[in-house]
Amino acid sequence: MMPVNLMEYGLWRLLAGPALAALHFVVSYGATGIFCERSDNADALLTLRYGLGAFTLVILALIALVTLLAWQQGGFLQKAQDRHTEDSAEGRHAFLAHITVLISALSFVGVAMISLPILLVGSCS
Amino acid sequence: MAEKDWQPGECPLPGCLPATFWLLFLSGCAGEQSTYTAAGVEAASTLTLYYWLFACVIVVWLLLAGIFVYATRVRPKIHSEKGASIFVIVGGIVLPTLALTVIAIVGIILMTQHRGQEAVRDIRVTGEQYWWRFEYLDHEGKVIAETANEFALPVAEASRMHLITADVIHSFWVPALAGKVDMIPGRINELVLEPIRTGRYRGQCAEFCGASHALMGLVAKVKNSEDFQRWLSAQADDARPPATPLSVRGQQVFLQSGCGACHAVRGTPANGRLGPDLTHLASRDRIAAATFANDQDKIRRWLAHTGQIKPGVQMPTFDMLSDTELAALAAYLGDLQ
Amino acid sequence: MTDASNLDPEARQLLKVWSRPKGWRAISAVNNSEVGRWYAAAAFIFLLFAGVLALLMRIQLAVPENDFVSADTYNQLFTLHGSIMMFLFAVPMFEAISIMLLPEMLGARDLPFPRLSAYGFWCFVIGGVFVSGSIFFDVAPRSGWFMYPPLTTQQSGLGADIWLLGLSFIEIASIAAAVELIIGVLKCRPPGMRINLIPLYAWYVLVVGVMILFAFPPLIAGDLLFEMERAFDWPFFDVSRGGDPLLWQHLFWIFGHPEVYIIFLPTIAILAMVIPTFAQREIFGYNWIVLSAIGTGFLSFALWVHHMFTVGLPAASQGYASAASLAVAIPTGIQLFAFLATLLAGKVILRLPMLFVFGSVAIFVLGGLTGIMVAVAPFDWQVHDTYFVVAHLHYTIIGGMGFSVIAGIYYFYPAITGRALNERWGLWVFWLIFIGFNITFLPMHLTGLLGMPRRVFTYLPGLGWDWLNMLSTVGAFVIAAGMALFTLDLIRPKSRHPWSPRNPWNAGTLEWLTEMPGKPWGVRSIPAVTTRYPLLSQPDLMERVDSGQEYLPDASEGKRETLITTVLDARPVQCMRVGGPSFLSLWAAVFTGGFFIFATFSWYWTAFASGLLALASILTWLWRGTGQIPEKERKDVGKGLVLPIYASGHHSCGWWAMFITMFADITAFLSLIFGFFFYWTVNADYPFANLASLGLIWPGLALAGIGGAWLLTWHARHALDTTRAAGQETATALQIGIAAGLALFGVWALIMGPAKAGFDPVAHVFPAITWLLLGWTALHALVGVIMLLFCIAGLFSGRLSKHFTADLHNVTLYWHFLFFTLLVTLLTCVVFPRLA
Repeated sequence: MMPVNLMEYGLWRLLAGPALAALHFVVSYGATGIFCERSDNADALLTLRYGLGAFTLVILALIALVTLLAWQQGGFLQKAQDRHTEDSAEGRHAFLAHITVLISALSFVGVAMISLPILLVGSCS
Repeated sequence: MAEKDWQPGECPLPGCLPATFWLLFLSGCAGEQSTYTAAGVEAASTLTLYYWLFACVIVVWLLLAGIFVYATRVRPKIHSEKGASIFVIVGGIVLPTLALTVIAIVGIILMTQHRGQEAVRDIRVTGEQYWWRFEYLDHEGKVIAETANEFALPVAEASRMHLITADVIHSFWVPALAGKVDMIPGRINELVLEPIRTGRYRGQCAEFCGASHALMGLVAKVKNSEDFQRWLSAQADDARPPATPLSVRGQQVFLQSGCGACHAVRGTPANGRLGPDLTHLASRDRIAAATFANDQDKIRRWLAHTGQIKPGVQMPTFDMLSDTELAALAAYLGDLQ
Repeated sequence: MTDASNLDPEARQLLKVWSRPKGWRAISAVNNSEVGRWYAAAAFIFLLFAGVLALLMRIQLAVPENDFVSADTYNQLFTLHGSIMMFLFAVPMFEAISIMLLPEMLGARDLPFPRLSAYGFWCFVIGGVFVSGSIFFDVAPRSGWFMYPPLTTQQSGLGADIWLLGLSFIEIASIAAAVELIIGVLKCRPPGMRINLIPLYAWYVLVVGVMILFAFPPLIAGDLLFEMERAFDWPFFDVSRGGDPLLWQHLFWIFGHPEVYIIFLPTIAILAMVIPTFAQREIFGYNWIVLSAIGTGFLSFALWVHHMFTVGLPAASQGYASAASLAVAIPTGIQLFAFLATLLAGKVILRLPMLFVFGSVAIFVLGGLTGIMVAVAPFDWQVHDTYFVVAHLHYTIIGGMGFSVIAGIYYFYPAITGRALNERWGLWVFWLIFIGFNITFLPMHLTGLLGMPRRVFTYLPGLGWDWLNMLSTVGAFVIAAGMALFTLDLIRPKSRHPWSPRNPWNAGTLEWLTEMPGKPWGVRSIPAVTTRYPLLSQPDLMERVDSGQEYLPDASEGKRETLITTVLDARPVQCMRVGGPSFLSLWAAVFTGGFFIFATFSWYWTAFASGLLALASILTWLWRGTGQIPEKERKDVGKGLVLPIYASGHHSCGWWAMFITMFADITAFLSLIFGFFFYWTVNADYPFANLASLGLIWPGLALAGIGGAWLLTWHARHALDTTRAAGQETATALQIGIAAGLALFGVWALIMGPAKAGFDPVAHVFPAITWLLLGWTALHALVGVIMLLFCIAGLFSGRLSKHFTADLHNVTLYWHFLFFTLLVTLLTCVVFPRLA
């Protein structure tokens, strides 16, 4: 019973980057909140930072993968760009692939920026 | 309220108005409650941060508005697509991303520097509708001295404020010393104040807390170390007994009218905890949460028009007292050095 | 207004079908152009009202220690000013403009659910008048539009309840509009308008619609917690019983920050339509702009904590929000640069709307840049809750929204009314508002830096704020003069003015197909589209459309119809019948309003009765107005295309509406679940095992009952879909009947659990949130039972049969979501306490 039209290549791929970024945000934010409210132990926080750091790298790798796949699907070639205004299934495909590259790249930058505190902040206060 | 009761502070604007309005944003004006005054470590660092951010804002704004005017008025002709592409990618993506990342890093580092510092003194501040309770604590957490609405700090020493609330959310803010921190039911928030200059600085509740939120002020007095110690031990003492016949009469009025049910005057039967501690009321510059200058006139007016001056205040209005009783009461309060 | 005499019979019939009801029946109109216009007019009136409130505030603040209004009145003024601007102007204005223009941009005759738009509009008007009117009785909310507890939970009087219930009601209307607009963009495009060709406005509408689904429900969940505390003393925000006022702040700002972008993006979308027209070229960087719309949309959900920098959250949490607040500037910047690049690469002609575009860019950019300043936490600690932030937010909202909306009104006015506004007056309007705005708000940055907090009814002299405040007050009246002139131009009778020429700005998108004056049918026939700017690049399009040579030129069956197309490639798949004029939406809104308004006064029985009447009107509306069995299966829509009239399952718009609505519903539910875990986080010392006394038996029975009903409903739908046997309908009715019985049993078991375990919701927050979650699920199950009964009635009356299964498909979809709700509720309330 999934919305079948959304199962087509473009729109799901398009949402993959933001979805990964959202997951990263929810986990980072939730874990920090719970750790800092429920244990003020500095070691625990260090564990948290390593854990979140590793998690961030995994998410970044996955987003990079999404970006790369979309790129390969013709998203970023100059020739393909000329087709974005085309009234054809190929034009639509190239357009969505290109948007996917852009959105995923933005998600990548977003995740990288939002992870800065993991790198820079060493205490809960 | 129409009458102007407030003693002007050190900010006689537009007397110190610089040549242009824009320059004003740079120099600001060193008022008692101004962030430009920067008499604390955190406030000074934030002021520097502000100048940098402000400079970036002006440059970017001028550039963008300039480009708009250029593209629509100066030269509305067609420019090349390729140029436009480079314009978007470099100007709209690469540069902002780099700049914003730098700002994020600087901001986060500054943030960690200004939270969780070490301090040599603990002060518990309770926000109440619409005034502030200050309790100086010793190392065991016992109260050494209590005061209200006006407190002192030693210069060049870090004091930790433990911020709590007795009722709703308030926010503790003395702009000249540091940023604000909220007082939230069920939480103890901390803020370390480290003044770098002596002087008198005004603060004000910054989180809307009810009808008289606007009139919930406080005064921080930054003193040198000896002055501070002298002040603290004086605050820890009991009240002086009333010296003149008028103030003896005033003390009777105070006790008979039930003031002691809410206010404490240490060393007397008045030991109420609901309202501000008045033991050393006369040592304060201002009354009614830093709203009026502390003189006989204002005290009398405050007692007779409390609810009118501060809507929603918990203290009843004592307009049933006769003028002579009010005068005696004011004299007594004015004696509480 | 419309002259039918010189039309051919086909067009005359079409005109008759789409014509507006006359006389007093005019209020039964549901067509997007009427409802959109009313919506916009109402939102504009609320804008003027809130503007007047602002002027009163500025008078009070003109001099220190002023006593023009009392503290209490002032607090009502600023609370209502913020609440009205946000809930009754900014968001509704987006909905109004979109309802008005989106179908025209897509060459559609109407939105898919016109009566839903009308319902949303009436809800909005009733709720808006209720909330705004409260100030005349001195009972308006008075604790700020952010309503922080415990100030608001402890407050006596009706103000807080009026805010909570009145605005919840309007939030529901917003979600209704979001459902409508999302489906409008996805399914109601003209044939051939693939997803890479849609007008940028539609992209923004899509993004904003989805944002509403994520942003409004948390606030509705928060309102629910809040009202339960106020009305029944359930201690959700009471620290002494395990609650936490910060949960409200989280829920409020999870709504509140995306809200800012919900306001901002649609008006940027207007710029994306105006700028290419006056740059005389297509938009530069269409893809960049789509990226920035989507990117801003999703990043805006990560930065609500920047409203809470001063509450003492962990440094890392503040850091995430700070970085996210800076990151969101990247897509916003891209958007702006793409606009500037369009202007650079085009041959710009300066007309009045462009002046407002300039105002918008100049002001918004400054607001955005100060936004970058306040995103840096240490700087925010100083200026948070000061006039600096007041200045910042007015620069972003009036720059981003105010000026763009006015630009849009000047630009689109001919398309909406057939006549242009006065450009000479417009110059005055622009300069008055632009200069007045800067006189008012530029000094406020400084006022804030000099230490003046927000939301103060007065201030003391001598702090350096006196002359700055006077300046702001003067500026406010200059803005008011500009707005007065603008309003005058809008409302003065224009019947002597000539009609505007068609497509007066030489734009490229389909809304400019409209004739001057416009006809109620939207377009004479629905064109096939092959480019992004069809009016410019498809030469004889207008003639073909006007002469009825394109799709759906007739309404030969006397029904209102529009084309439904596929999501990605806009292949036409259905000729959908949409609702015509009806009083049902109005009645449903009146009774829904009654429910909320009576509850405000704690008249619970009256409220309950009104709620039942609302339910009855909605059921009547659904029964008589939706999913009608067509008299024939297919219809020739012209150009040799024959399309089905009825659709069910995911081919139908109704199914999508259910999907999207339930998505919002699940967001609200997950916000409550978030609340549960939030309480768990802050109550480390609570004997959590206490909750285990709920036991496993009652929840198990509830799972069996409601889960069984779910499976049976699913099975019944599947069987009805796949059967070839005649008379399957009776078996289906039986299955659904059993499912309804099982569900009722499940509801009973769900309630019995905490009742038997003696959970007292007033005693502590955990029994309270457990009751709330179980109650939420039970209520949803009851709604599910009503749906099942609706299906049974449908089976007996013939509107539901093996050929026409839409109702059952939609109901089954509801039950999928319901089962998910049940499962998560039980995992949270039953399983988690045993593990923790």
